[in-house]
Amino acid sequence: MNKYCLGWVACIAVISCTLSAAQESQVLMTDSGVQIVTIGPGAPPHTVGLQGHRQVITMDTGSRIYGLRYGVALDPNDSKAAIPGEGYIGMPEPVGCNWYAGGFLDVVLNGQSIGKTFIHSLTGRSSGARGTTDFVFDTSQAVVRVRFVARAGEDCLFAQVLLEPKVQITSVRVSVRCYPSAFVSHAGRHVLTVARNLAQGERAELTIVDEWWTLYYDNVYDAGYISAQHTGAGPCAALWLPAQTEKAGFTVASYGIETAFNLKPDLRDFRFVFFDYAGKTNEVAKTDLQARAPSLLRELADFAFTDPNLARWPLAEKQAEVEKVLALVPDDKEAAAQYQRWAGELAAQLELVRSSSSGAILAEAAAAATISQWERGLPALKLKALLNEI
Amino acid sequence: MTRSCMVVLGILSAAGVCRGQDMAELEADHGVQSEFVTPHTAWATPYVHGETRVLFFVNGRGTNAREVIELKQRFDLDPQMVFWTRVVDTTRDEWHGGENGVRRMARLLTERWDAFVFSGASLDNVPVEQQYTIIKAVTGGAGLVLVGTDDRRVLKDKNRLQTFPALLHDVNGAAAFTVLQGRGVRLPQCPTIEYRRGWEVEYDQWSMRLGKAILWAAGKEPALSLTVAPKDEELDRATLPAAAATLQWQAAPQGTVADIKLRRDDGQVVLAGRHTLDGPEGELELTIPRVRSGRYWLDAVARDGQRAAGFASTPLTVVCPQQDVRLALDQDWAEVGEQIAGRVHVAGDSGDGRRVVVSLIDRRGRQIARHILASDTAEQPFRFTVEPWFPMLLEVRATLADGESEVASAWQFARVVKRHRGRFNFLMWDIPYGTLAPAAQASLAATGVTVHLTSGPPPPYVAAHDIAWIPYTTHVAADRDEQGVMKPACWNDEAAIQAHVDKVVDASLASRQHGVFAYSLGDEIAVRGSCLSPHCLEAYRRYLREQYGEIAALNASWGTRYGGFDEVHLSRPDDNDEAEALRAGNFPRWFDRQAFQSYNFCKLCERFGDGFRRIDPHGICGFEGAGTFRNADDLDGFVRYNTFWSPYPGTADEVLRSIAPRDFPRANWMGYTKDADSLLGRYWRMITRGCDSVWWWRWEVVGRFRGWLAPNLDPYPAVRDILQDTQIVRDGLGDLLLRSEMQTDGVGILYSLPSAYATKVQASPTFGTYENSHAAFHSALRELGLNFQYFTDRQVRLGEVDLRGFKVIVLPMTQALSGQEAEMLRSYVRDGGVLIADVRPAIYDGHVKPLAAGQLDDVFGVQRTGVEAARVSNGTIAVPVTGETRESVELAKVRVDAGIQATTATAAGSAGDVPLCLSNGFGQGQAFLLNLAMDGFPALNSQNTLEASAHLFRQLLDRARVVPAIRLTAADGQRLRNVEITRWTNGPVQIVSVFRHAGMAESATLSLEQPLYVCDLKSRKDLGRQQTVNVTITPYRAMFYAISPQPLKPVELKAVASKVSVGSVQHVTVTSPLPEGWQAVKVQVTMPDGSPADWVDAVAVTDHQGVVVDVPVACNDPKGTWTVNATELYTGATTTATFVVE
Repeated sequence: MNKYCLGWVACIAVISCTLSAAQESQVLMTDSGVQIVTIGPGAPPHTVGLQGHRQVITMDTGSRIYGLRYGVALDPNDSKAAIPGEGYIGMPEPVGCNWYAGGFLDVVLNGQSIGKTFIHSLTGRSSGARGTTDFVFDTSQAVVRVRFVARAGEDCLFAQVLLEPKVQITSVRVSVRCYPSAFVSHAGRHVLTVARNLAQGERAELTIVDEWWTLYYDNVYDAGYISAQHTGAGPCAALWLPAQTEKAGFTVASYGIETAFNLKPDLRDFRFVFFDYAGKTNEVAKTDLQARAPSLLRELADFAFTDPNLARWPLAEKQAEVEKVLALVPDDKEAAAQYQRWAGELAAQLELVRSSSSGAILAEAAAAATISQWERGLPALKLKALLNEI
Repeated sequence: MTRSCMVVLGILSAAGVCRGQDMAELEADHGVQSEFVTPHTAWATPYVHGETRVLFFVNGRGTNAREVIELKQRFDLDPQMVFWTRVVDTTRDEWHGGENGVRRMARLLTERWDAFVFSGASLDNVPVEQQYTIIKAVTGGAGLVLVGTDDRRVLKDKNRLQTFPALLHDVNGAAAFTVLQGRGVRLPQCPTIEYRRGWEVEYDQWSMRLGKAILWAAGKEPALSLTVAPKDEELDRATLPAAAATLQWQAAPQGTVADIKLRRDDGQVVLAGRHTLDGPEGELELTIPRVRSGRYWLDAVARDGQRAAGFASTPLTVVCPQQDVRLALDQDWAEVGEQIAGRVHVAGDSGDGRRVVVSLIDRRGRQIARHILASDTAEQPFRFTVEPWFPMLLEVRATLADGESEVASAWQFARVVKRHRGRFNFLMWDIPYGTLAPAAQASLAATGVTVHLTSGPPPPYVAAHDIAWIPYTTHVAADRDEQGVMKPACWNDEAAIQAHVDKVVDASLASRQHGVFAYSLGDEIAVRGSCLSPHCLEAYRRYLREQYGEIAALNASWGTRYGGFDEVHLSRPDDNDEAEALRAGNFPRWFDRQAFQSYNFCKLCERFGDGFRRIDPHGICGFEGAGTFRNADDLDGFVRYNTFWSPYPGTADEVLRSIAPRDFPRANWMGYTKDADSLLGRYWRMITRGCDSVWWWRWEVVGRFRGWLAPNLDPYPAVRDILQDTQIVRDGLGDLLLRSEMQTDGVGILYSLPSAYATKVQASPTFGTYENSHAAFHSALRELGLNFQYFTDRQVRLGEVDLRGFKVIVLPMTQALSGQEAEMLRSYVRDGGVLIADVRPAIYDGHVKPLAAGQLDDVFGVQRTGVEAARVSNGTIAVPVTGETRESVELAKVRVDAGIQATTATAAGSAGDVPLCLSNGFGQGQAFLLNLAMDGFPALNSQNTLEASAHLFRQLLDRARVVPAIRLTAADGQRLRNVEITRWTNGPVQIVSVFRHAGMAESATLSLEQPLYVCDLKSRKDLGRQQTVNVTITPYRAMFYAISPQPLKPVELKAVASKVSVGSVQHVTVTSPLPEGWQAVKVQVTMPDGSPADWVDAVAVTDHQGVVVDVPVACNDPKGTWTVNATELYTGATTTATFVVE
């Protein structure tokens, strides 16, 4: 293998908990790894010249690829702090517009954005027929986990904001930002709800009980519409639980549209569904969302965000598997020691996860990170073993 | 773009969000469904064991991926491909699509595959997880085939099969392995098969063996064992007919049959038959007739019902030691009208009934001409006169015959030189290489490619498809060595540069013998150059003498005191560019050096042109992808000293189309986007800018760009769209426009080289760029429905242009004029012409020497009060009253010249105290000085611009009696914006294009000055006699109309003879009913069975005197009634004639 390829593979690792050939209905995950860059001109001025921290995890369901990106500037004076540019949780795929690649989701607790705290961990894993990406923040007010789940063969993204408060939470606000179909201004922005179609310039305060989904589209830049500078990607949408919501609203701006949710502060679990309809026309998306919304709402309410495959990750079985592989590569002492170390860490972490007690979020994040490393190291080891077997 | 939008893009960029190919694009690139079918043998399709799922990892460049399609044609495969490919414009290889490509690979590997094939890609380049998946699948029972590569980690010597599988016995160079439960095969690379007629037969054999390897590796080898065993390595023809081979079989199901075929190496099937396989086991003698000596293949495909149950093939060699024939050509190429001559040597017995047939055969196997020679002497000369209808590649074949039976044969290629000049061409960068290159070439020819440009000699398959050539002969650079002398030689070092040119020229002989459309001196080359060599200094002195005549004139210009031109030196010995002169404000000394560098390049081009004409008297020479308006290049010189030039698209196209002779080839490169709309925008722009061809970069590529053909050799979907939208170009519009005259509406624009430089000095840059000013005038004129024409300062000085031919002359930022040019413009206005300038006309002389006053101040009725930087100011211009309406043009932040004041001129507006839009009567004419930089004038194509701006311009042009012949109005009755109309005339017919480069579709009305007969060329509709036509403007896709004072009619068509014999030429006369001008006709011919005679697929451009189209009928063409169809471009009507071939 040439030098270039080695470096590249390390950066774009395909991660999976249950990798096996010819397995049906998987969500394929890729992790770019952390990239540290110097932020250049063109970025928001308060971040220019600082070191930028980037990481992208993608989930390929087979019918749609959702990329989720963590991107902030590092605070040179405080390693625990982050300086978001235009945001910190972005969605660069399927397209950079729609749910904005540079930052589409912000969680604000008691008036403070969790994005100002440097992320504790960003992990992705594939298990069973689902892919999971976790953004975990250990802020002064709460441990917050923003989890995205994509299911094999499906086209939407389930999201959960889960809190483990450290102080009393008096307000929870989530805002989401999109640039429907293309980064264009003065085109034809619209937001459709079950009750109304709001045009560019209009402001809406949604009726909580009835209006619990929104479709964001541009009636000029429909999917495939091409101008000299831009091509229409297609619309995007969001759906949420009315029961968690105190207030929701937006202004249909001419460029980006920000939708703000004031959520009930006594709750700990907030849920959303996001759609990127890139490649689909406005009409197709409208018809699709209108038809699916009622059942999706029910599904969202009951959705098991907990990843049973992680909590019940069969450490003993996995250890046995690794030991079997290690037995085939007896010379690789370093790998043996590494796996032994990880096994010890995982035993403690998984116990805490299963207890669901305080600290479970961080324990799960740590376990997920260790499992990710475990799984990522396994193919090379298994390949070595397999080649020895031939 | 709004500020916020910029921030968004900025953060994406800063984040390193790299947008590669998305999945849909990758799927299209890796497409395995192809509509392009090549000759093949269906060895195992459909197959008794059903489909075999194979994942191919192949090199994505060139024709490699087509190998998979070729296999799919021959075997029952359900394949997918993953490309390992070169990232375009780098030396880096990766899995195509980068991260997405790996993701796609990972997704594919979640599926079950019977076999994995690596060809031109290595297993160890696969990311480790996917490697594991592949190897795990192989150890579990799947197959692994490595073609031209190896991986000893997997295919281990210890696991190599000592007993070679029977199925693979004829797969030369193969090695078979076990890989735990799976199987592996290592194969050599696909053999290199030289192009010749019948090359497909040899490829068929390779593909069969590769297919065998895959089936065996996948564990799907046929249960029926079938072999064809030759009786002998060589068969003596004298013993034929006789059993030549034995067909053996085992485990044949009841009712199995075997299709047997004997193929000659030129592809001719000389025997075909079907045999029932009696019993599960058995053998059968296969008898072949007395065929001529040569190489053959005996193929057998066993079928159980419709499904292939087994297959086999063996090569056979038939020899005839007693008799042989050899062929020698005097020269293997000839021009039309010259002769292809040679000698045939016959060895061995001669006897009654023996004769030698010398035939000229095209790539289709058609015998287009033949001579029959006696065989009574050992050597027989022959000669054929090369006719215009001959294809560019001929197989000259001598066959010794004995009665009806052929004994032996020999052949050689000969080329017919064709250049494809005088017709509209579609040029493709680069050519296909490799064994499947002829297939790719066939696909390119079928999609309209008529010329290739690349380096190296043209292979025969290019000629076989009648495609002319532009050799990329060199790459002109202006690099200098440490002494400051140009490499490889100073362009003025007579001996050295001539030796260099001769070397380049002599290396192009093979191209010349093929047929050169034009000789290219390279793309993206240096278009100016000089150096510090003494030769260059001498040349510079000679150049200055030509420019100034007297040394006193130079001294006056430069402020020097030279005694003669031989004393002239650079300001500093090492200052090749006279940067010091520029810094010191000695602009003439700086400008002269720049102009000399351009001239120097032009003289080099001229030298190359002369060189190529030494080997090719018809040779034309120039360069491509270089030379711009923006860089103040000597556009006039490019045209004057070259005989072709194809710049990148830009403002220079307008100058080129205006000053180049009609037979001077010109085009732009395109192909840098992926969607049909933007590509079509580029295509139609070339047509409306008077190009004689469209040039596409490049025939194959995946990644950031897309080729004309996809890796499977089908045109990409966007290309299909382009082909459909541009069909009229190939149906005659392209050729017809070459014989039509583009209209100018009496509007002339001056391209002034010194003015292009003047915008770079003193305060000039504050007024904007020379190019932007020109582009703004172009836009305004086109928005008003007008056409225009350029002329150059050099043309004016040389008296090559008659200014009286223009109703109005526009001087965009024309700050530098020679005294002679100024005087000619003064006379022009004095005699009744109209002059329009934007800012600071003629404030420098022709060498960019600043003058105290503008040379045309009297003409414009102004007086110069200073030479200041542009003042940015708001302003207002009152539009002269039209009807009841009083209007004004409001100007925001325009750059105005505060250094003038009106003397005799009247200002229609002002910006503060600066007069604007000054009008001055001078002699019989009128001069208008806008006194603002034109690129700040409200853009007439913008929806936000008030119509008063258009009214102002119309009023200025009305003074010159310049009015559009055709008007376009939107649904609201207002002037339609962002559309241009280009008009050509051809006899009484106007050809009109309506073209919106980008934007949205819109309904509009096209209004003529009077009712005329209108035909919509694209939709092939006769719209009848109309004064207004409702149209839908479709962005990116130009529309074309023919407008005539009389009804347009189809052409008359007549076959000269009602009957012709095979081996002759039918002449078909095509005549236009129009009393003058030309009509274009697409002529196509069908044979008695309705199939196209595709060697006649020509555009004929005819007039009332008629032209003759040749319809050659080969000696082996079918007899019966042939039909000639001539479809006329204007009317779309098809006229038919028939004749009988006897």
